[in-house]
Amino acid sequence: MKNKIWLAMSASLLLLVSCGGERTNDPLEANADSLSLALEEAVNKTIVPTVEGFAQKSQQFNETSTAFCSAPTAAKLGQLQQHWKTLSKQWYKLAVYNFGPVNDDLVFPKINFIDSLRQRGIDYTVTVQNEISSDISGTARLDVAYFSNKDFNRVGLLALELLSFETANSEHSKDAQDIVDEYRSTTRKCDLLKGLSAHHLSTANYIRRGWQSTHLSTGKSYKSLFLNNQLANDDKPVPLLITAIQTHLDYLAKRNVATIGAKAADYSYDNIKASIDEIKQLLNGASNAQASFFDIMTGSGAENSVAIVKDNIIAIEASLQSKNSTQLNANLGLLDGNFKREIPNGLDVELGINFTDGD
Amino acid sequence: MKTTPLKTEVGCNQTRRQLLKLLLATGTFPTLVGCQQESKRREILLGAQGSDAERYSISWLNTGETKANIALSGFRGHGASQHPLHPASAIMYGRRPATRSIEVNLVTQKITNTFHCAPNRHFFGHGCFSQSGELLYTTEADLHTGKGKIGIRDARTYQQMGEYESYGIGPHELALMPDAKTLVIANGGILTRPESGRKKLNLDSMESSLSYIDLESGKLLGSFKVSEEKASIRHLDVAEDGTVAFAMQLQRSATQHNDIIPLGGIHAKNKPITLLEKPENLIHKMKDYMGSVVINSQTRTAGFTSPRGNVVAFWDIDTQEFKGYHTLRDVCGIALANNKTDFVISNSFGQLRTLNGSTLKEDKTRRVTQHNLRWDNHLIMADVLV
Repeated sequence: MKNKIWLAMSASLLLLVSCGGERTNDPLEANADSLSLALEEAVNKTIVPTVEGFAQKSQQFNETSTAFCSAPTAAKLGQLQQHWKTLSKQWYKLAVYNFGPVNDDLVFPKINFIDSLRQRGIDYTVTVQNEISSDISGTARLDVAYFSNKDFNRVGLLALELLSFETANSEHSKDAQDIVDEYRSTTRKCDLLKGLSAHHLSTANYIRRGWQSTHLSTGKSYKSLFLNNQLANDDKPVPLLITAIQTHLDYLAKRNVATIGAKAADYSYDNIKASIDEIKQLLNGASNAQASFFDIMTGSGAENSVAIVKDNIIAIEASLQSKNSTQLNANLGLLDGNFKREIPNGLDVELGINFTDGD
Repeated sequence: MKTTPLKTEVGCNQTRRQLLKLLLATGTFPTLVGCQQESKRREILLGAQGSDAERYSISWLNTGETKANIALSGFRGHGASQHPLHPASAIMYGRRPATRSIEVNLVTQKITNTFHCAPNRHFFGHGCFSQSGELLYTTEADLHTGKGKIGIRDARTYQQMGEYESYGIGPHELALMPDAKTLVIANGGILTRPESGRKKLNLDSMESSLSYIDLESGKLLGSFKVSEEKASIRHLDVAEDGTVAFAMQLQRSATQHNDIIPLGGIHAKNKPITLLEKPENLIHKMKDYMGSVVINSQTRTAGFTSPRGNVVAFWDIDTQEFKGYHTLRDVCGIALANNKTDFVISNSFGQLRTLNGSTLKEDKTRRVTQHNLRWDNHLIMADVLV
């Protein structure tokens, strides 16, 4: 009797093992379950780490600001500039997900307070330079309330960039020693750097809280709302994600961000590369992901579409490498088109016929 | 045409009283009255729907119900009108650059007529009836010259009887003014041809206008433009006092700037056009695109949809004051409910929502979702006796 039981158990185990093996190699088809799995993997292994990374890089920049201001030196300035670049790159990864906590208000969304350029491609460099100059020469108390009351186009990454990469005087010198000397001689510039950095950090922490803990007044994390299909206005997560990426690509190309973004730091191509890297990971899946959007497209017979998207990404990377903005914008347009057609079709997702092709 | 039944039943924008007059005059009324004991008056939401050639149709449902009726068309429709002489029938106009449109019986669910444009013309997706209901006007293009035309048809047989100039390129939506003698036409300004599909062929030289033409003579009574040359006036609605609200689509790729351009405008008689400029952030959210507009004459409020911004926004048509907004994914259709107070909006995910015309708050008890439907650009409300 015991032998029979063991035989039966062994046979069952073999069957399970063999089934398990087959399941692992089964191609994923586009259906609600596979899409759900790929989405969960994307959120847990790509999007949330990006959100988390942005908060961490913001914290890092804030700490570096304080350290720099305690005794400004050229070496510390170099570190400050490097950490601004790291932060900016992390932002361009997160900017791909312009929904939820990043876009929490129809009129005054958080994204505008991080990246004023993103509002409508207007370069507010001169506005911020004037504001910095005015703040340094002014007498206003540079406290938390002061920074909280500032307009979106006077705070955020652009203000931190200009404070880190150039002097505030009319020459706007980019020489490291000139910048350090100015900080040494003008304590209010340090107050400004630390205040704006702390203000930015609070925005980054708000976004992290929204994704991980509580979004607006829902009492739930945006991650939970997103994955459990409980978004406001009956928004659906996958179309929302695809549309956000498509809109970001459209913004990068149409607003010519390669030319007008991050000029003081000379970092626009690196920023755009960060967005493309993020999109690549989202589509391919993180290295430890069990399912990806590309997997589903491939399993559904849309291998050609996957190949087209990959080719377009390679073309973008080549134009980033050569810093050819005309070519870059054209290639971004092609990938933008992929997010309107090939990708939603391959995933069997509808974006909305009026959105896609209104009249 | 997104109108109350009062507007869609008779001509483009007339009153219930006018409908009754018309029914009496045309002899239709006794028939309807005779049937009334067994018949019920139905408020019907109606529009083009479908996301592919196999499912393109005109679809409608009784308000308060969830089961929709569908008449497959075989082509993608755009605007629609209720037939004033046959209130149980509706017209669905082919989407540009189309060559055919259909009449459907809302009771039998059968397509009762298909009419085509002349060989050297194409439709733009909208039409409206004359005050008497005897004539149907459609926006069309001359394929040889590219000029905009207003096709004139016998509304019983759909035989073409003539045409007028639209006094612009790419006439899109049109409406009958309350004087019943004037047509107002949104000339989008964009040249397209059937052989090149929906490709825009003249973005460098496009000129959009709001034209008023005399229905008796076809003469131009007035033409109005907005300062932004690349803003295409595409859709419009007319208040009971003749105030026109219009919705535009900016051809951003043809502009040389990144400025936020107002997408909605108001034109009242003997006044210049005023644009709805605030709030800028909301207009920016609309991504240069408004898809439909409807006026609530009672509250003097115009609702404008933007499927690219996933939002419907409301402005006062007298003061241009912004009154509020409601977000809904891919929202585009908007109509005034038959109580003349509420707004009804639709999207391509089969969702219908009702917003109070005064408070602009949604009545969530009246939500309808039909997952099999894909409401296209426009929605109209109709009254039918069934």
